[in-house]
Amino acid sequence: MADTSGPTDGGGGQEEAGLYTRQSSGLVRDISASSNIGLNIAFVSIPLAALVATEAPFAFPGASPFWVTVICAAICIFPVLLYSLFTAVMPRSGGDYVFVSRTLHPWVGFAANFNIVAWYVLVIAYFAYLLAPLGVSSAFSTLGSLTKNATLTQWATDAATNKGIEFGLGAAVLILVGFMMTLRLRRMLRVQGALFAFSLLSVVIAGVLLLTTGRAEFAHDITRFGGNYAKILSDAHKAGYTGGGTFSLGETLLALPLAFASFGYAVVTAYAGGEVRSPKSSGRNAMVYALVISGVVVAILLGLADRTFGVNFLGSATYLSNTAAKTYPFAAPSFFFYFVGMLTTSTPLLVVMSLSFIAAFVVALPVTFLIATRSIFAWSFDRILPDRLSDVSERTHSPLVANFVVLGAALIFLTIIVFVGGGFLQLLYTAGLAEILTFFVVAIAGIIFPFRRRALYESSPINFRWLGLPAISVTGVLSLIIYIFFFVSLATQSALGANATVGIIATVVIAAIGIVIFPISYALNRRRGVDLSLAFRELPPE
Amino acid sequence: MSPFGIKRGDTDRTRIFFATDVHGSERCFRKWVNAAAVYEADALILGGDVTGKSLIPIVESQGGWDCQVHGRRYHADDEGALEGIRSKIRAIGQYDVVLSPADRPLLEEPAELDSYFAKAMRDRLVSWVRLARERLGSGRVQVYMMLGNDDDPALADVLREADAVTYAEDAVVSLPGGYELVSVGYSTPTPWNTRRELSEEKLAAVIDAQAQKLSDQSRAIFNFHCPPVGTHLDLAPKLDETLRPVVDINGQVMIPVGSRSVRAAIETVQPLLGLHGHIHESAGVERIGRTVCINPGSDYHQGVLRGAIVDLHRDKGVRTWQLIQG
Repeated sequence: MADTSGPTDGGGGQEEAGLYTRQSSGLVRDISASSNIGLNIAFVSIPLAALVATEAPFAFPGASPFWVTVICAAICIFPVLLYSLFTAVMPRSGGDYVFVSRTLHPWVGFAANFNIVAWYVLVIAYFAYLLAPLGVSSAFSTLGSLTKNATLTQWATDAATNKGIEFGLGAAVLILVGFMMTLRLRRMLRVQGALFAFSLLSVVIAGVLLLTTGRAEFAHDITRFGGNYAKILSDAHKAGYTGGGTFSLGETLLALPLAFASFGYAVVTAYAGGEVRSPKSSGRNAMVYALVISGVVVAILLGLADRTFGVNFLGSATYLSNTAAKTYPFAAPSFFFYFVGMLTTSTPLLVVMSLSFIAAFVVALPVTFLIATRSIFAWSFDRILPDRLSDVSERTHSPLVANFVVLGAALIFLTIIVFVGGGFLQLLYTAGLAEILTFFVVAIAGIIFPFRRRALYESSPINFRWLGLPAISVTGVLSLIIYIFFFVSLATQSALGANATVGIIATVVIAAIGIVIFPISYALNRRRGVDLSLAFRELPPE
Repeated sequence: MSPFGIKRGDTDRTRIFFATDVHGSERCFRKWVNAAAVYEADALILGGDVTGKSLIPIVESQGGWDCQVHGRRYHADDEGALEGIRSKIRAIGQYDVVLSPADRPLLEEPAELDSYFAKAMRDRLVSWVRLARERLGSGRVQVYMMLGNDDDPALADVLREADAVTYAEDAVVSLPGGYELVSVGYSTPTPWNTRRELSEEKLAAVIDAQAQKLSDQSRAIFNFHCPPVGTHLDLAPKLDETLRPVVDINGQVMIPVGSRSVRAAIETVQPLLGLHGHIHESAGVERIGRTVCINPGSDYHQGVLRGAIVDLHRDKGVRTWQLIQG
């Protein structure tokens, strides 16, 4: 790649009809559509989206993982489009912090952004925690069973049940990622890119194995791991599992928040990319295309899983794994890739797939880490947090202090998740509930943006209307409705655990911290002669 | 009482408002001029790259005028509507030219296009310095402008001849409070081979020659369009051979594109303050030794003025700074 970097102004103007440009810097072309879409797909994390296969039929008996995926991906188009439109008009890293600060008020922008970033850091810790019970345990279990290696099987059990191992592995990977972030960015990105490509291998292998294996073969395959297909179904139903009957649209709709945890976040590039404006439709729609592609891939995977495993089996096995462990026959907890691993006897394939799935957990960490540190930088530049937080290493130019803050917070969260437990074990859904608070604010900002920032809207590339109304306002209204649906679903369904007391307390505490920091910072800065309210106040343009 | 809670007439304090890279945006320039009163600044400094990059033809048609902005077609039926469209184009930093259908093909000729650009750039800059004189001509606020790498060197004359504006690149100039402003608008080479680029060696020589004119290095302020390399002020998207940004899993790949010469000069002289621009997407503040280096970034195409308010104290140097998006 030629080292032809240079300043940009978010051009693309060279290709626009009726526009003539002179020889000047910054007139770059748009990010290619394929790169833009690929970037967004990376954030959806297809391997993790596939976990709906076991969670939906367990928590919502009668729900179809396939239809959960299809419906959720379809309705998430509006929230994703909302972020796309905002990114087109404010093409800056920072995502909702920039959108909301400019549209509503810096205080609201900071509080909303702090809330979601704090929960992202919590999710970093959660992924690190899951590495042992899901990633490593399933890898050892599958390999141990296949090779008749009792030590590996025991390690699988230990990894799934021993808190010390869960914390040790989680902390080690967090510290490793923290160390990666202190390296020069380019070196870190190379490692990250390789990990991402490797993580997709598990999806490809799973697709091929599911396509080539029928139900009867699977029922035979699991006997090698100590399971009996029919017995698992009967044991689960005896234990109280009510799924396995007819398809239930109601349960399917109730299960949508499970998939929202993946598809609702096809907006994350608004935080990590977007420095160059892509005003044309290919750039603007890249997040939507990525959502559709991810939805189709996951839906195919889960449709194949239904054919090979059966939704009844997936729900029954997960029910036993979660609620009747004594009758659960396998060494690792029930989840999609574990069962896929049973479809092959090829040790190399199993090793690759297992490691690939582990990579899917790890690959999510640096990206989220980067988003958190960038946000801390932005808050520091705006004087909301101390300048010290944006100090960088003289040698590598990496943001050392911000990295330590994120790492420290993630380690604290990991400690709570592993040793306090309780509602934190359903943290992914609690995070969804809490993060929707930020999404509410973004949707409201979208609705009123064309009216509150008329000049900016009128001169922007998203100045178009649907049904006579500004498109971003219409998208904001539809997004708000969808967010309300997911919020109510998560808040009212105990099956997901998002409304556990500890989760609600965490949600309130984190939101309150975000709300309180700004006025405190405002008062402290005021004493030093800095007025934070000026940061986003519009100067008279006349 | 100022919006910062500091009493006016604080003789130890000098307030600077710095913005850069407005790239022809009428709305940004007007905001910059108006910022003097809003922020009660003692000195306004506009970094380089004052001229726009693109030109939109407005073609006469039956019963009015037609043009395209952001790919959307606009039609004006009367002079009022035409002025509205022209104002919209000017606000986002683009130039407009009204042509007859017969003259429209002239823009396809490079020499003619250059000529239209040259006139449009000069006309707008002339109108700007006129506006600055009208609004800031009382002399209460000192006003400094310079050119950047994207600007036609011939435009320096417009700034030199302006009444209320001081062209900052000709000499070391004194700011209120006795600070000395050294300005260099050149950049290191870019992929676009723009008008005012220098190799690192030549840029170092220019900076050195300017710095030699300082009477007191401890009170120096560097107004260098190009940011120092290896900071968070100089990160720009890596581009491929077709000038498309390179993307990986973490988003756009950002790499440092600042100047080694600028960094070396800052490390050697250790001015109080470094004011930079050039890299629109790399807004931030970073210290190099004792020097506070600022790049406020640029959002000119949205009509949003990004800038920095810096309070200098006679004894304490840089007392506070704040990035704003006005």
